[in-house]
Amino acid sequence: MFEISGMSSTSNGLTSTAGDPRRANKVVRYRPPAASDSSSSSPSDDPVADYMNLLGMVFSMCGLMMKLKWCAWVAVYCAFISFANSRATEDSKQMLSSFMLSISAVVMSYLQNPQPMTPPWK
Amino acid sequence: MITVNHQKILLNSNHLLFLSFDFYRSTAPKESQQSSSASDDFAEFDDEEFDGVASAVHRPPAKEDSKHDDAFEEELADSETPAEPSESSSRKSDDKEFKVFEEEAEYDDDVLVEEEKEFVDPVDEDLVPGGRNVKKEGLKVIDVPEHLRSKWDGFYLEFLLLIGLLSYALNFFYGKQKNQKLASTWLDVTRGTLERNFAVVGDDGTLKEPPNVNSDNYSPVLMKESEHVFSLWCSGRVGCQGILIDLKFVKRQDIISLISRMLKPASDLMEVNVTLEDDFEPLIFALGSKKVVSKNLKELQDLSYFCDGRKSCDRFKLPQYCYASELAEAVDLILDTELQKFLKTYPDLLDYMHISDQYTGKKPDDPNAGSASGTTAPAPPPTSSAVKVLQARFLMPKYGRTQPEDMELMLPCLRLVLYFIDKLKRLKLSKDGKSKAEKNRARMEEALSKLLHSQRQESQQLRREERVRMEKERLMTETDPDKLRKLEDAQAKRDRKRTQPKMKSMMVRMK
Repeated sequence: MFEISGMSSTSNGLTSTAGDPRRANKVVRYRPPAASDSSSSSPSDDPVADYMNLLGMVFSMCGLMMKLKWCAWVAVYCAFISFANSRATEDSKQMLSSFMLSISAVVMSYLQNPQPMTPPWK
Repeated sequence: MITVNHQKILLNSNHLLFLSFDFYRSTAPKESQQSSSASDDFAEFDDEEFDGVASAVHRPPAKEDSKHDDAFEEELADSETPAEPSESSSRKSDDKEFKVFEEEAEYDDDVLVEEEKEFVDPVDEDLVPGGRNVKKEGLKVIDVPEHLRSKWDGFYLEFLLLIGLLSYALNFFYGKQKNQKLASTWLDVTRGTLERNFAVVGDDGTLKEPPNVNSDNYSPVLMKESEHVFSLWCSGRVGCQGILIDLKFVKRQDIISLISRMLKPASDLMEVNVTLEDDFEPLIFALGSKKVVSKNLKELQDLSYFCDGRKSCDRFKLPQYCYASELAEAVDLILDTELQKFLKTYPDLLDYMHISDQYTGKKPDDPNAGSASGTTAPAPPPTSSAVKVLQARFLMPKYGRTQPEDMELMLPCLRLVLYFIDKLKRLKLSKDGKSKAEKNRARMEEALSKLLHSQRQESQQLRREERVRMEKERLMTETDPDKLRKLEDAQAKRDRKRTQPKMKSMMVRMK
């Protein structure tokens, strides 16, 4: 614990001015930064969730259209990663829909071709 | 004779049937004799006339001959031996017919073979237990795809992927829980200090009444922005409008970031953003590690416009830190003994500190802004959106492997911020310093107004040109001569009006 020498004469650590610094009449309510400032950095701070969401949808469509099992599996992983990195303010319906799409891509690709997936080195 | 011929025709057709059946049987192994019971089906055809043929039918094959032609010819030959002399004449004609049949049989050999193949397997399976082995010689075996339910061994890749997903899910829940525990421990540690300094702690803006410390139903809310970011808003203190503390933990819930942290270690962060009061002195100062200060000098608008460059803190015996300041006297005011003591006691805690009365965030990415004004100098920050802030970023110890007990170290960091809030409220610059700062801001305002003016002029010019172009287009496309004349008159009038005001003002002066 280190000491400061402010206006207060106390020497037992950081203390503010003598008396109570609290002012109940100077309360300012919290405003979410996205609402107050449109150029806020919070949406662009972490674009991983958005990229993974988009990638997941792209891989799901590739897996469904081109019947590629590995695409469908990658889509499931992308959906998981997007969910893990998502912000609390984001719509959960979109997460759920991307999950459902990726799982349907996996199921459809196995229904159409029940063979197991062959690794690329074989 | 007719009846005999008719019977012969019947006989001949039945011969073909018998022969074909005998043909099948002759190619089978000896056990096919057991199918003699099948010959009972044809007992009705047993007759004197058929004796020769029947003997040929019922005779067991002399040799196991795979050549069907030979067997068939043998049977034909046998059938030709007369059973009774009275039948010899009819036999001769039968021979001829047999020959015909033989030819047909030869022709139909392939058909017979194919037909035999159709019937062989069921017959053979009954008679010959190892019959399939004989057929496999010379057959081409094709790989048949495995059915989903038959074997699970082939799905090892799928099992690996499922295990990967499970491990990701387990890590997600573990990381989420760990981050939440760290956040709640931090709140427990710092709650006392915050409640002594702020009237409202933990306001999320949704409640009707803010959570006042002295109220009965006080309960601070630590806002969860995501699984690794938590925020706390406190307000109601002298010297500031409010303080927003962001706890930005590493993404323990994401395996991918876990792997990337193995390559490039990252720390948990505590970011403090204090909105200062309006009577704050004109001051712009930044302190931090070399990399961070250089980066912010390039990116932040106020630092890039007002500060000259990065300077080392060697004279303060803090070699790992650098500062950037608008005024030289501000350096000694901010980097006082207390801050130096804190930096020496906790060398790795403070990552960056920024004090500014002209904070507008990062520079815009518009590359045309500079070219439009015709200068290479950075665009000045608009004063309307500038806020007075004190920003500080602290690193939590142990490089991402922070434990709940390490949250105790965040308390001196918070106290440092509160100390600076009080100090900046009392801070007074010298006259020279203040006048210099005021000049800088006036210069900045002037540059901004010029830029805005030039931008407004350019946009007006563009609009005017667009209008003229539209009118010309209308003139060109107009076919009606009357309308055309009217448009031209209107345009001439407008041109006269544009030139007229100058004349008018001159006339007024002369009077």
